[in-house]
Amino acid sequence: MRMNSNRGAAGLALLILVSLWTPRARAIPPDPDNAALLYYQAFLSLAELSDGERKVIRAVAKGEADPNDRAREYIQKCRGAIEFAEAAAQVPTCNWGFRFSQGFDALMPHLSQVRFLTFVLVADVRTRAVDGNYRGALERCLLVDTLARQVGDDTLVSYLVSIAVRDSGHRCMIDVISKASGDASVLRWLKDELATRPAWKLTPVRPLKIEMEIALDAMQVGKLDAFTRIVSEDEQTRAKILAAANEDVLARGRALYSQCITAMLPILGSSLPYEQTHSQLEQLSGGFDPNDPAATFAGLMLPAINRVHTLGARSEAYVNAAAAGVEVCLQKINSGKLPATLPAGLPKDPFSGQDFQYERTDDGFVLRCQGKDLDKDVMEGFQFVVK
Amino acid sequence: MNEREDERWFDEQLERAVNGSTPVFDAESWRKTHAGEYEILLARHDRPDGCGVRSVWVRRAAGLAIAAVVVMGVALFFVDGPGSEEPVPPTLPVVRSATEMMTMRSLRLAYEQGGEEALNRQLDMALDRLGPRLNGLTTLRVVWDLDG
Repeated sequence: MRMNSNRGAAGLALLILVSLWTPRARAIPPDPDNAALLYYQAFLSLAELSDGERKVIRAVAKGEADPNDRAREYIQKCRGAIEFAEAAAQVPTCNWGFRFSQGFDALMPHLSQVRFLTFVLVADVRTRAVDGNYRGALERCLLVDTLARQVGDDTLVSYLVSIAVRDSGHRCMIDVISKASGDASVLRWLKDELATRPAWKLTPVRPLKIEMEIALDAMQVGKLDAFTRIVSEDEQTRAKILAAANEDVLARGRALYSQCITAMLPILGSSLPYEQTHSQLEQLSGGFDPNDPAATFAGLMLPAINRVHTLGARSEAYVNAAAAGVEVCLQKINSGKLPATLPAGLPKDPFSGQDFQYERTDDGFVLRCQGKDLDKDVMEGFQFVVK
Repeated sequence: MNEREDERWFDEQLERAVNGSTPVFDAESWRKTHAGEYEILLARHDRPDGCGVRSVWVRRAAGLAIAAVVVMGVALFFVDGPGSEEPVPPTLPVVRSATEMMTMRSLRLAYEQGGEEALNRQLDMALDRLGPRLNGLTTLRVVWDLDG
């Protein structure tokens, strides 16, 4: 009996010990589960660079200058920020804490910082590539791609910045693929990475829905001053809007605007060919009677949505061209020469829905879109310098 | 103002701009006011790909470019006077402050007026105007200040 009670006491003591020990083992709080918090710390850790020093980083990132010792020193100063960005890329959720309640007056200071962080990361890519560290350079390109995804689509402006970040990363990735075109193991690794990474594609649907709600809230008699500041910087135009606006005109303006955006959303969310989407959006954007103030208000509030859509297509072209370029380079390694035609089954040109047009050149090859950017009337082309 | 007064006023402005004496190009001051361009020129100069005949041409071209920049610098010195502000790109909307530049309204308007290039330019300008981020030393200094 006594032995049993001793055992019970020992068991209890053990339980107490374990319970005391366990919370201590779990006492270290977890890292942030919101990537934006890590990015904000990255922005605070960006080095205190002068205008001139920032210009050097930008020039290197854009490929306008080679990474000399000075540029390397500036990038080194931003090492802490790069480490925060690496940590942020591991966190699936990213909420920037955008204050939707402030409507069009909401501040978005993080977007400037995102752009500069992108320049730092891309400048680091180019530095690594110059040093022959192709794998490291391409890992950075993928980091930039993650940053682009995490910039997100809270607003149309965020969406546009996300696209710009993604394009910077893939433009640079194409240059690195060119440099690494003889390195089979790096290219095979990149091919696997591109194939296994979770695919992501932002569309302007969510930001446009959010913008519609904010715009409808702003098109009210009591908020006329704010409304005029949203649609024009020109004092005369503002005065005209103020003179023409009344409850009835604004109500009709809201109805027309809402009708137009509601018609655009399914088109933007569909998988219609680029040209068809462009034409339908153009039709919807252009049908406002200039003599009707309500229609004018609705037209003024509409964003240049066709350009937004085109930029999305162009960004997809960069991504697809990089993936297709890797495959062409791998075929060159296998056979000792560039293939005569584009291998089958590669990602397509989003402007035409067809394969990229493949052309061998004196110093490599070019992948050209077969459909035009209908806003600028140009065909995109991606050059791979393969020596 | 009549024509004669106009001329006199213009002469006075010119005299003030060149300080009444023969103007001399101050390279050091130019370097300070155009630090960014100077850094990029240096970065380009340090490119490792220059050798042989190409390098001679590259050096000559760089020399000509620097000379052109210096000549332009002198020309601007006369036309605008020292310390004048750089011209604002035409597609950028007029904005009140760096904070104003970062509102959704202002960024959206920049995009509507000048496309993605204008939006990106405004974001870069806002960062330049808002100033640099804290570096490690500054952060430490803040901590020391807080500690008293």
